[in-house]
Amino acid sequence: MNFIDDASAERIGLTRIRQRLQPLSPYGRLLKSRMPVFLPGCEELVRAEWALVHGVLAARALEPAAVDAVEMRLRSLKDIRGIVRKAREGLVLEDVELFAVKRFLQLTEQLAQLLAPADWLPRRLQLPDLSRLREALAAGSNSGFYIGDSCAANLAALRREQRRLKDRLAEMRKRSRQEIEALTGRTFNHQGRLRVNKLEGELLAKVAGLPQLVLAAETFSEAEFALKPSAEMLALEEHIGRLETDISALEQQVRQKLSREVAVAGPRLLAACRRLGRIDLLLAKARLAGETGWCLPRLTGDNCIRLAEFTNPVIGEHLAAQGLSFQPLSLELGRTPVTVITGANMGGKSVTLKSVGLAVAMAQLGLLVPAREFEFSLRAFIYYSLQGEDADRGLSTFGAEIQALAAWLPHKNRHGLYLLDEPARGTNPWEGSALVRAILHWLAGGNSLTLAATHFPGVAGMPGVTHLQVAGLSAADLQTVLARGAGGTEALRNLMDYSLVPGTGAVPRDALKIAAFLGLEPEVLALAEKELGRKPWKELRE
Amino acid sequence: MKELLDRAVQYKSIAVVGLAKNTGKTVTVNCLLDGLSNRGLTVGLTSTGRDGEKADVLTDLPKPPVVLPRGAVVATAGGCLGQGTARLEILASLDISNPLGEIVLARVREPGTAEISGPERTRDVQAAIDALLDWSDLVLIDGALDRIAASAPAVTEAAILATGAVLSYDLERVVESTVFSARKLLLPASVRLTPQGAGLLAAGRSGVQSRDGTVKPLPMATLIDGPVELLDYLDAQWSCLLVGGALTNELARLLAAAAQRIPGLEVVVRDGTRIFADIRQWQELERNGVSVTAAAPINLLGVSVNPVGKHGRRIPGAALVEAIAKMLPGVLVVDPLA
Repeated sequence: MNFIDDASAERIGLTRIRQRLQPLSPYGRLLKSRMPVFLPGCEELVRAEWALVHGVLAARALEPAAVDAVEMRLRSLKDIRGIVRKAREGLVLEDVELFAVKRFLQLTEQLAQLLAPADWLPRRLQLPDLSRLREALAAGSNSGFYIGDSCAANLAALRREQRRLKDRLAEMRKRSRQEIEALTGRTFNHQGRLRVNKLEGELLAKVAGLPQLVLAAETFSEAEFALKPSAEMLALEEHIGRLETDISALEQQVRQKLSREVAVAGPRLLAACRRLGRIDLLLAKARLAGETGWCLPRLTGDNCIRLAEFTNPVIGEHLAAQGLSFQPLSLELGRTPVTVITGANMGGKSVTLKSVGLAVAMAQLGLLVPAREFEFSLRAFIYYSLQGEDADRGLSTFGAEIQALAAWLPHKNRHGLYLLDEPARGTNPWEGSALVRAILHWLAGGNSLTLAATHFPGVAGMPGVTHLQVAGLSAADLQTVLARGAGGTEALRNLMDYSLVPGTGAVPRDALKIAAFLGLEPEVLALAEKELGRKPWKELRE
Repeated sequence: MKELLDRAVQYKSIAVVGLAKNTGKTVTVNCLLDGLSNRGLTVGLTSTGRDGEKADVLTDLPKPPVVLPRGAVVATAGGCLGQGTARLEILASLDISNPLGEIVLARVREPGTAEISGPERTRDVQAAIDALLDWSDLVLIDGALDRIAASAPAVTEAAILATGAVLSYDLERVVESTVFSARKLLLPASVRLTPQGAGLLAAGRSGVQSRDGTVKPLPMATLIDGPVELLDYLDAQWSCLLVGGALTNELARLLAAAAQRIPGLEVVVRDGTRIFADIRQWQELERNGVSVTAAAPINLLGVSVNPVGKHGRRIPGAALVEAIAKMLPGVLVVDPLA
């Protein structure tokens, strides 16, 4: 059983929060994909994690430039784990791979220096000492990679000798060409060829007769001659070739030696990768907290969730795009295992359920929580009741919901969190209501916390259930609004009080008011009122 | 060659593009590398895609290797290092890859041959040029077959076109197709194009522009198949067509046929490399009085000629140079191996 399934994660907004958590290095991204959830029993670990994120936030506030410098370097890190593995398998690394390791070491050294004064960084995250490998890779090039003359005994001498012979050969060729150019009055081209037009018979005969030249190419109109290498030149070429073999062998030995050094430093390199990933992810968590606002969650031994002024970062993002803001949410769960929310349609019941789930999930991923205060006990799982049909599996809304519930209800004694959003609304209200009462009764006997939103009568008043109600629209507001006539969702949002107040056990009857507000035919509404046996609609309006 | 070098040193980036494989592009690049470094310049080099192998991958004809002078800087895939005799110091890695690996910058410590395999996408080529310019005075781009896009002015300041007997053993035909390609690159800049129209083209979109400069984007997804509805948007008032993609045979045919009804029809392409219409359709456009212009004209430095065709047969080099030069006044035409 997972802490949370994908569908629930999507519904409560956790998927979006994970998207917004953006590590900068391949190591941080890898760690994010395997980010652990702190389950019951990990209280000390999760506290330590929050403290670390908090420490980064404090450091960021004090020294933003230093944190920027760290982040810039994290962004430049490349994944070298494949190279380390190759070296540890005894293979010889190529220059470009040795360069990648060297670059990694440079960045790691800079990061170690930048992080040295960071008091938030625990000892176990300090970057390992890689100076030996750094020194081994330093020869030959400052910040780049090159097998320099000093990398192997004799390499300098061999290269010097080869260079000398090449120069001598080039000089000999140049001299020969100059001699021939003087004799013929023609110049060799860039490819070392001498072209003669066949119409110039005399010149052609002369050139063809020169023992230093050999015919290299011929067409019907032109002949191309190349320098025929002398015995001395051939000997030089051969010598250069032999030196090339020796030099290449020495260079390969150097690569082999350096690859072994990488293999030896392998465990420390991999440790550095892991720690860099941890540091990167911590910084990402702090950046996210900076964006959403945050508080340090508190753990309690009580089986409860107390949330004060939580600003839902996912819904807040949507509202901000429309120029609106989220009305902070406060509530307490745990006086009884089951809490029921009732209230007007569009009164934010679903948002409340999602917010509770998101706050708990964020905290248990080691994230800080965007609230004034957040106190809870760790949950073993979060389940958000599935709504909507699953046509792929041939299930109706009700079918899909019940199937998921059937899987989750047996876990009621595992300290989980059940978020049931209008359960059984896909079926008839008589049986639905009975079913919901039964489910809540079942859950009330476990140690998990349940928050259910419902419109069914007879649920909120159940014994052993705490009832919360959305404050909704006050009578005064309603009068103003109705006097003004039908409004839109925006006007409704402005007037709606989303805060939760203790309920009386009864289900408020707001549906017709909301429907009127949203502009439903007055005649239809009047009929509905009649059906309810209440005062006619018109009178209420006056 | 000296004259070509004299012109080349005035630019920061030059693309060498071949009309086909075996047009002597690598020889031209080698001559430029050699000549420019002899003048004391540090030359940067990259290619669009893979180049510099010993034999042509397609035709298996032997190819001359790229010869790098000491101090030159290249941008090439890590997988190509160590393929030649040159010894390279890796300086930095770019955040660009091609199928042969991540592109790195490397400096030539010991001169010799090398295989160069640079970025493939135009945007990445631009990034490689920028990176090379941090380490060199002038950057050469070796453009591969059908990757003429990298000669676009958006990427380099100037271009050199390589042509040769590989196109045909008939001198006239080599001249004809070379001159046609050069003329496409030499398209004049549009005088009528407004900044708004230029912006539309830069985004790769098509539109029409009226005589008073108003620009309307076209609703068609593409113009490459010459959609007849296009004619609903063109008239004497809306007579300037902005083609964000390619000017194809199909589109050229449609426009040539409709030219009579649209007096003063002008077709603006992004640059000369976007014309894919063949020489016949092109002439048809010209005959019907359609003017084709470019948003960004290309600076064609010169044309290099390789008189040697496949199997070593050749056509008279001097005559070829002369014939092309006569048709392209102002453009330098050279046989680097003459």
